[in-house]
Amino acid sequence: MKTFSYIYSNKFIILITTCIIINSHAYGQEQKIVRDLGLWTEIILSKEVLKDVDLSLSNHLRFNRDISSFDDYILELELEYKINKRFAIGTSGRYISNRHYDETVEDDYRYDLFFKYDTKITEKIKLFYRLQYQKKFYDSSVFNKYLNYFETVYRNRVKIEWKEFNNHGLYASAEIFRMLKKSRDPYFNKYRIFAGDAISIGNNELNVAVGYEHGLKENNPLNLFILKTEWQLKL
Amino acid sequence: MKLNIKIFVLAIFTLTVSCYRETVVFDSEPDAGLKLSSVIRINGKDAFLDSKLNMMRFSVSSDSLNNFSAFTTYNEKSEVWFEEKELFNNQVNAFGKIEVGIPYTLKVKYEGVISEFDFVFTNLPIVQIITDTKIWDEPKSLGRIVIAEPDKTAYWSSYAGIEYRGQSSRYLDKKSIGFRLWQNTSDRDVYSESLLGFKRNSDWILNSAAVDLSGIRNLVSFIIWSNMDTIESGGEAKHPGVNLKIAELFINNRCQGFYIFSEYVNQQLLSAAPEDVLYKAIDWADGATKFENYDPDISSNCIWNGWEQIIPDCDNLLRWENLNNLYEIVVNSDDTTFKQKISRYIDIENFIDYFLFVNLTFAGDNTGKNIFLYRKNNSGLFQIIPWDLDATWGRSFDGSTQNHEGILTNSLYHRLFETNPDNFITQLKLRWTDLRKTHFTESDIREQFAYHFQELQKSGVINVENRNWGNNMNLQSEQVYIGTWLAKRLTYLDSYFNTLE
Repeated sequence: MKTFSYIYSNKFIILITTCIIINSHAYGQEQKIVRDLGLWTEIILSKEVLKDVDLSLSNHLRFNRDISSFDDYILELELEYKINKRFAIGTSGRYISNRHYDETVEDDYRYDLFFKYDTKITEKIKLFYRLQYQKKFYDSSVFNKYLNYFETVYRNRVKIEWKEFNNHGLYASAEIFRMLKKSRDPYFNKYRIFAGDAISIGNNELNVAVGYEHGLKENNPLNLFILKTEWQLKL
Repeated sequence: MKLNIKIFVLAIFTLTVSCYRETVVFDSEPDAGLKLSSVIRINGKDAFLDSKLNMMRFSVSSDSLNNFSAFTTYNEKSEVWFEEKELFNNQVNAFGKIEVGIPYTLKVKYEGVISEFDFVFTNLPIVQIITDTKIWDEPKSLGRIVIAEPDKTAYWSSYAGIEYRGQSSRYLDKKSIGFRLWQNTSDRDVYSESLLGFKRNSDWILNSAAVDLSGIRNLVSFIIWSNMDTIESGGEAKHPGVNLKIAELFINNRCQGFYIFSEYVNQQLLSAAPEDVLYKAIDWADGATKFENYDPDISSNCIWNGWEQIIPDCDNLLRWENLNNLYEIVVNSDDTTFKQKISRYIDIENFIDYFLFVNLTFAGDNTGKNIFLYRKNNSGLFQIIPWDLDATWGRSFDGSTQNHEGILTNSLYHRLFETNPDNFITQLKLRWTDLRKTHFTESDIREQFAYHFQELQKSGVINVENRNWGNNMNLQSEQVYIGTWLAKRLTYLDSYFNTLE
């Protein structure tokens, strides 16, 4: 338990210190958000609809501007098939009511294809890998043959989970996003890291985490600190 | 339980110590629609920012310089001063008497901090390419083209596919750029528009003029080529060619100096019918484009004997038979056949004018390469359209000086001289004599150069050009060089044509 507290204490220090110390300031006409704290909440209803096939429906609410302002609403449907103990594939589709910092709201649509792999490194430590292909259509352009504005992202995520305590799965994950846009060079556009605890509560799971997301290939990237809570209810 | 308490404390703490931070940057990056934030907008047109030189440039009409007043908008959280005079947001402000090419001081105050810029008015149109990716030779990269013209009260903007172009200039630091207008982000939705007052087209060129120490040789050459046609021939154009204008180019928030904005030779420019053909000489091909020889095996692709088929689209239909017929008569026929039949293949008036033009300009790079052969189906005659006239007026393709003596020709012209069909030589001499009284006078040519040198000089963009590319362009000395070379060249050519028999 001592180790457990120590980990979280350090996260406190890192996050809070970063929030206080980073104070870069430039001057000009374009106002750009370079740092923020967001809250991502998610509730997932999942059910095994066939043998080794899970169907889940999730609702996401996200807040930004130091958790004072509503950011995005997401509705997602996901289907996952466990090929065997280690491998799984799946697909999902999501609708996003995407509220930008300038208060404009657009409807985005996204579909994903993913491949998952996990293996035990030791009795208590497990390694997860996910390769995800996602295609996102902006501003309802999935229905607009003239605009046709979309982005494709390849995501690579590695996660390590440590099952030291009863009902607690401490984990750390890192994910890098490679962006492909039409008629442009592909590039790594951001990375995202999380540290959290997946707490089993009966048949359900509460996942709490702190995260950090950093934009790449920009002069003044957004540094987003994330508090995340996720309820997964198995039906 | 301890965990939950910690998270709760964390949440409360971070709410009380704000993490949220805005910063404000001048060197903004393209947004999802490939637009950049504007620092200041004057009469509906943005001032273009060079973030490295801390300079803004604004295209302005010469008739508004004496008492310049303009509706000005900028970020509502800022305050702005022009030469210590406050500019009021969303209002008409009197800037007073202004001059182009002179750096004025523009101050922007935001949250108590003042940033200072050189603000330069320019008489030239400004073209900006906004892109969030690299530009390649091929394929075209997505970008946005923004154009602000001096006498327009709004800017024009469009998505475009952008690429580097030019066989030799692509290896230089300052590269020529081509762009095709796209209605959206899809390369399938190409459309046409009239830009800078030129004929509607989908494709346009920004010529770097990188090896031309004057920057305007190509421009002035085409003006003379065009003038030869308009005044003398009348009716249907004997001289298809392109129109060009000097423009300043920005790529995102960096001024690239000046470029020559040019029309692009294609079906739209020529109003070509589906049966017409257009070939572009892209290579010397061991003398094939100079009609010294040719490979008689007709190509099954877009390239043959150094020529590229432009019209019709070679991906859909190959039409080499017209060029093959021309080769056969020029390269293989005996003198009698050549003399009898050549006028059925080429537009003799056009070929005479091109010979005079290429020798006036001493365009050594244009006797085989850098020309188009255009054949209208209704006339059935080939015309020459010149291209890429940077290596002219006493400078070679690498910028080195050229002697004023020598006659430029090729094997097709050799045969015209030798066989003299339709009194070719007499026509040539008469045409030279006529042109020396009109568009080939020393004063007329000097005036053309002087006007464009002055336009370029007064904009002040030459300073940016030299700083940006490490050049040492000196327009005054180049103008003197061209003038001196021109006088000698005309004397030489007068002597040549007078003694021609």
